[in-house]
Amino acid sequence: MVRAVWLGLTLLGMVLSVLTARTAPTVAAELSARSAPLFYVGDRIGKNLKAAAYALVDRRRWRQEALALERQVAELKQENLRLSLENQRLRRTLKVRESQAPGVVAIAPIIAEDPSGLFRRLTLGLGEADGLRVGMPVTSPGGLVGVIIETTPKRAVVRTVVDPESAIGVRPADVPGRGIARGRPPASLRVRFPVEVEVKPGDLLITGAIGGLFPEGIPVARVTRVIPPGPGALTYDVEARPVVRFSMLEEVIVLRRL
Amino acid sequence: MRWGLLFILTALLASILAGLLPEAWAPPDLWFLFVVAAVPRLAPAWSLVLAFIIGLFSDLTSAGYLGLHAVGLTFAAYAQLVLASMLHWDEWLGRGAVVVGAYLAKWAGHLLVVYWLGLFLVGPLNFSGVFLSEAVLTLALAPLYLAFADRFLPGEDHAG
Repeated sequence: MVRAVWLGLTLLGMVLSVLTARTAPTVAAELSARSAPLFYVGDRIGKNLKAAAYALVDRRRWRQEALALERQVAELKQENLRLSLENQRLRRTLKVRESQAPGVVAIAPIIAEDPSGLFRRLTLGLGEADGLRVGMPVTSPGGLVGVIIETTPKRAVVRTVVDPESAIGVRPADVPGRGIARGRPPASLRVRFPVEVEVKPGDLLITGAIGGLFPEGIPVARVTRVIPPGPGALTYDVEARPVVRFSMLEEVIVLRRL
Repeated sequence: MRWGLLFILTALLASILAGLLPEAWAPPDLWFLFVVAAVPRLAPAWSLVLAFIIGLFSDLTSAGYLGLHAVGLTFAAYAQLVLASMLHWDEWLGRGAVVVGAYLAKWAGHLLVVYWLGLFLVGPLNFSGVFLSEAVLTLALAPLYLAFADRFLPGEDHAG
């Protein structure tokens, strides 16, 4: 009995499939369209749940992407800063090379300053291993910094122009004559000129000693005050402020020894 | 009354799952589970008729070929009746084997209709992508659905 019903229904199903195959899916589609509202609610619920799940996943992914982008932006900013500094450094180097001397030995970072206040000396992050030697001039794009007075394999000490032991041959940029500039810490120089040399406040002093340690023409200081000479004096002094702001220096350019 | 409610709940759940699942996944065949839940509670001949009607309804609502699901579910119901007479429907292992056997019989019915239609309209290869996900989801959902049906529907008067 059961088997007969099963066979009968199977046969019916197969006949139906053959009869409706030509019209399919027309017939079925008709009912499907009419019964659609029956399934619409469930389908919408399911789709909305899926959309909510996707939204959650997307939100998580977006958050991860945002974090990754933030990291990337931070890295790019850092890289940009590094490149910017590198660019500035290269520009300064180029400027120095063009204006001051052809013999750049190295660009050295300043890793320390003399903390005593009595001297004005800088410690560089490069040393003999990098080609630095005692007596090499040290400059910056702004002007003369000093000279190397001590080296170790990886460090070098620079005596700045305002160091009390510093004595540099200078000359006014616009008028003839030469003088000796001695450092007066913490941030000035005392320059002695023959009375024949006429300088006034604001004049720029540049390196200019014959046979000196430094290439000629590097800005050193600007005159701030002229101390009038005494009667019958052969020389007179001026006070000058170095053109380089040492506290702002981060790196210096070491030139080949003359 | 409860049959009607289970029918509506099944339709609702089927449509929810169809909307919820990713497009690459075939939804579980809840009408098959409806038939599996119904067969032990009805007279054998009526259970086959019910399976056929449910299958026909499924064919119509899915805009498919009339007879495809009808024959498939009729095969499933008949296989369930045969297997339930040989295995213990009350034990979970026996019930699992019956459900798996009935499910495979449903696909045998599908393929019979496909063959009957001449393989040119829809071929077995068209169904191969459906089979795996539908089988996994349907059989995974079967324990829950049948447990719910056991609590929801009247007792099994004609269990194998």
